[in-house]
Amino acid sequence: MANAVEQIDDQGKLATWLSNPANEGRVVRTYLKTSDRVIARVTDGIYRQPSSALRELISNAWDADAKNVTILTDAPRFSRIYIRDDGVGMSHDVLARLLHNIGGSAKRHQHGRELGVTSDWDLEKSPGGRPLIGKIGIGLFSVSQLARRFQVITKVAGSNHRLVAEVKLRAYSEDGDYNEEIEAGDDSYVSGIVSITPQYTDDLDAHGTDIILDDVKPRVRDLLRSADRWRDVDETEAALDAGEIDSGASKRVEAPIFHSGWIAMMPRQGEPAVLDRPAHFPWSNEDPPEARMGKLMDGVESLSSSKKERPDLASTLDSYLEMIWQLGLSAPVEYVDAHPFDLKQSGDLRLFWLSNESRGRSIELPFASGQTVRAAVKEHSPGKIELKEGLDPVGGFKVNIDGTELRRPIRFKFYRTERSGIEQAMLFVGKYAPNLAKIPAENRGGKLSFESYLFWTGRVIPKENNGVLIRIRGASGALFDQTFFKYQVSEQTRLRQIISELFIQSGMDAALNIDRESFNYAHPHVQIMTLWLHGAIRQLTNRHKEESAKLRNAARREQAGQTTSKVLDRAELIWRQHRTNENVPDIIITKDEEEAGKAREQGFIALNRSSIPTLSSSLSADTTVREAQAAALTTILSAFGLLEDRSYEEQQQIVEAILSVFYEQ
Amino acid sequence: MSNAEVVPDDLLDAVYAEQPTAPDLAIRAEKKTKFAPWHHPVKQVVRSKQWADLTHRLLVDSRSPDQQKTLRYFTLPGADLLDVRVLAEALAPLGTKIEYFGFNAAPSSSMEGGAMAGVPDASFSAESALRQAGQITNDALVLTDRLEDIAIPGSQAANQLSQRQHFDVINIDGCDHLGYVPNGRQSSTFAALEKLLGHQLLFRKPWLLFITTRADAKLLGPHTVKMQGAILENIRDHGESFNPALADCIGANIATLQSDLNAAWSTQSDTFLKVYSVGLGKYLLHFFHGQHNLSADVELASVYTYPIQQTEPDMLSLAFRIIPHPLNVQPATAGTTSVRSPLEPEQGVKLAARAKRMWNIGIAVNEIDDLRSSAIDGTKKLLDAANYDLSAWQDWLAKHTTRAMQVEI
Ligand SMILES: Nc1ncnc2c1ncn2[C@@H]1O[C@H](COP(=O)(O)OP(=O)(O)O)[C@@H](O)[C@H]1O
Ligand SMILES: [Mg+2]
Repeated sequence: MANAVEQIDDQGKLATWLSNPANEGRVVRTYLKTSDRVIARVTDGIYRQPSSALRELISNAWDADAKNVTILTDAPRFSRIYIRDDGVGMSHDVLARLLHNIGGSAKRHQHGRELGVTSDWDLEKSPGGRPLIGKIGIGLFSVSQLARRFQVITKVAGSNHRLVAEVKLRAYSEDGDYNEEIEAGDDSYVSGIVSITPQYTDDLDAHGTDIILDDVKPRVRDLLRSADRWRDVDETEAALDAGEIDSGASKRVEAPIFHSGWIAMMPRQGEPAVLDRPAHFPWSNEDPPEARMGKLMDGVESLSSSKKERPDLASTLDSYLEMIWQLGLSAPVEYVDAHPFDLKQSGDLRLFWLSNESRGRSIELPFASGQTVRAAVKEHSPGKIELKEGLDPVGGFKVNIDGTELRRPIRFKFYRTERSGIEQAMLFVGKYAPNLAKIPAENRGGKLSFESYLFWTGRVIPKENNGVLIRIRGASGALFDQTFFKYQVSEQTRLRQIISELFIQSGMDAALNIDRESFNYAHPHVQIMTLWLHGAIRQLTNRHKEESAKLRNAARREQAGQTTSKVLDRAELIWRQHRTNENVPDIIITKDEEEAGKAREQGFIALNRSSIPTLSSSLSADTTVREAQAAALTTILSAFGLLEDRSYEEQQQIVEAILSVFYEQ
Repeated sequence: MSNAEVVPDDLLDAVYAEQPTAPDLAIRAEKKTKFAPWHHPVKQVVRSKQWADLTHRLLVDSRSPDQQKTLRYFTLPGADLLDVRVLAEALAPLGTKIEYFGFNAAPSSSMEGGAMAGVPDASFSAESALRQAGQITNDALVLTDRLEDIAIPGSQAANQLSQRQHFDVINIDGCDHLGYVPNGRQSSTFAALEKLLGHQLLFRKPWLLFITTRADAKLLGPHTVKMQGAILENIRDHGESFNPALADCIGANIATLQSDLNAAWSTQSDTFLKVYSVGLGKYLLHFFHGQHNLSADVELASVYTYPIQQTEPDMLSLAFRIIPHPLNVQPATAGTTSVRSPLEPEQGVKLAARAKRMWNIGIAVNEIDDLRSSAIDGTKKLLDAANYDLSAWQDWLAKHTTRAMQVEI
């Protein structure tokens, strides 16, 4: 029934065909191709997880000066995924070019200027003046990891037509199974086939891009809906019900606490889909989109008094919410509460300026109540620095996923770790733009400049927010690196108390591997950045040591008169041998879970007596002795790091297990 | 390759299986030549005179300029989003964007005409066009579930609905009658309607409910009992004021009201359509009256009828205005018995009076020149925008078995 469809594989001719009003309602076909064999494989996937593709599409909308991006998924079914933006759209020239040049972005080239994808006055910027994220020209086709087929519907303002393109990708093979198919008539490699039709409209002003995945790959759907995990949970529960295993074993497989629901059996076409487990979101339907990410953080943070000292995302969230979290981290959007440079002094923050000298020392900046970090830095930093990070020239970039507005899920909250420890969080801020003029241009790797902060707090929640995150032009593919680019000094405790971001303003993106998720460590920018970072960490830890030493001395003087039990003295001695300059933890034994939760919030390590039978069952005369032993034991276990990242429940089980060796029930 | 292992089917499915896909772009881009009853100009009268006009009025009369910016619209829009287009155009002067949410299942064979079969996702480009033009919001979404699924506890359709806020307008534009239960389902359109009413309960602003339904005296589902019951209860409790109004509406005699009423329910006629309208209205009134602290008035804003399967009118397009009362706070002294206002007698009388003025647009569109020409022009414009072949449409209309019409294109 369809007329024979014309095939045009010349980029210029394709663009001309698309722009010709006579072709309204007709369809043209073209190969999706590249001249590079390695790049041809990109459409098969280079990313670790489905969210990477969405991250790339969000970056593209940013580059297109969009103000709003909306992603819709119908979780937990994930039958379709829509990505919609109100950016500048793609002209027929842009579309024709990108289909024939996978891996050859026009961005940041003179060519991009002609196409209108790059600013006229600065090749590094979008037409609206945002720093461009795109550069490699493979991001759009990362969609191939989610679906073999997708549609792009796009329009630029001022044009009288909209372009509707349907892309069908083929799986890459080196078998030579279908060599005929990949012949494009020139030296290119074919990754797929695209049908395009122009649709005419008199609405000249309309603009934006829609990407529609109406057939998400089954395995991707399974990943998004946490299928493997839910199946495990279902099986474990069934086995538990049947009495085949005991409840101890079932702890290994825990259902996520917050999730989008679970449909065990995907219905066949035409049958109703029914959830076996209803969604449990950390927000309610009345919460507006901008509040939801905050609710998600609240939900995770709240577990720190009841479940684990540093709750982790992996066990708390299903893949979908974890994806939302990660996209929030990686996208160039606002913070949940405030950008670290826009934090206001409210009494619980000290501000330091980082030195760029090797072996330099941070200086504390006066930080007046109500003032922002940005303002304090401008007023008091040496050189009166104006921090640029956190200001968008286009005026806001909002990304909404299924009714949740993405925000960077990073908060700058002060948590105590020790009862008599440091009373305020510490924020270290710096800026580095090394003059590399002395280095020959061919070795330099280009210009490098960045702003950065390191935030110290008693505990970082969730665990995954601990480390350093490198944000290049607002976006980041890598998550927090908990090793701080392999910082060597044994500062385990303090390192676990740091959140840091480096905002790269120029340079570094040549050091990004093409998946944007990892760095090429050999690149000079990575090396310079690493040295600077390690220097900054040293400045932080030195400062922290000094402050805690002051407090420790004061505390010692205070405690001088107190008598403690012998076992506790012994335990403290062991602690000091292992953790030279860290304060001995305060251990408290509470009567119930609620009290324990409160004590934990104040920086105690708390044991709940009723969960430790050896303590709760002993005769009163014995109680004090046993409790001192339990406290001593806990001190020693934590001196060796053996309690770290275990749930409170598990910690208590360990203490009970050891005590029970000495005290028969 | 001969010794390649045999892979179990479910493994292959998990990796390679794809859903039945929409036809190629090449096919979708062609002008469409299959037509369905809602492509007849008579439907355009409903779209523009009933839906668009009333919605416009709702926004102007009972929404602040800020609230006019988005219309939250529940719909069963079909692949071409015809209703959305008409509303968008009517609301453009107010600067309103439509945030629709609704369902469009791949049509089953039982659906009349089956014209849309095989084109489940033609709406993607329609949707993009409206969105890129700023006429619908970014989160406007149509799911592939069936409307009736919202009545299934725990269904994905219900799950998605529950995550939505209240709607300013709910438009249940059915091809079938309210008691209709789709193949392989247990719940009817009426059950879905009841779910939607529940969804709206906490909404305290006036809103519109459009219901288009087959009304066939031979196809009355169990839900009609609820409608009939609602009328009878009114006759019993407020007969004094209600009976004359009802009698007047259906052209009956007060003395023989009961038997006239029974007769009305059993023969296809204008009387049947009117009594059906009053019954549905009364049912809604009862529903909202029953929500002690969250009660609402129900007004019948307009009733249109036209023939679709027969030469006698058998389609009803009803527009209800739901006007929530201020929250009814119960005094502490009420104890276990809450204070409940008497059954809504006045409202019932008004319903009957309005139903009496039912408008047969099947006839009107033939007799009133202005109406006909605006309906034809409107449809033409819509179909053109939705990529239909207009000369094929002209032929289809000319040869229409029950409602043939000559149009110029
Ligand atoms: N959402 C979008 N809006 C406008 N143009 C886009 C969008 N997504 C992709 N493009 C165009 O497609 C090109 C290819 O995108 P991509 O593969 O991500 O590579 P890159 O972003 O590195 O250029 C972009 O350069 C841009 O011109
Ligand atoms: Mg890109």
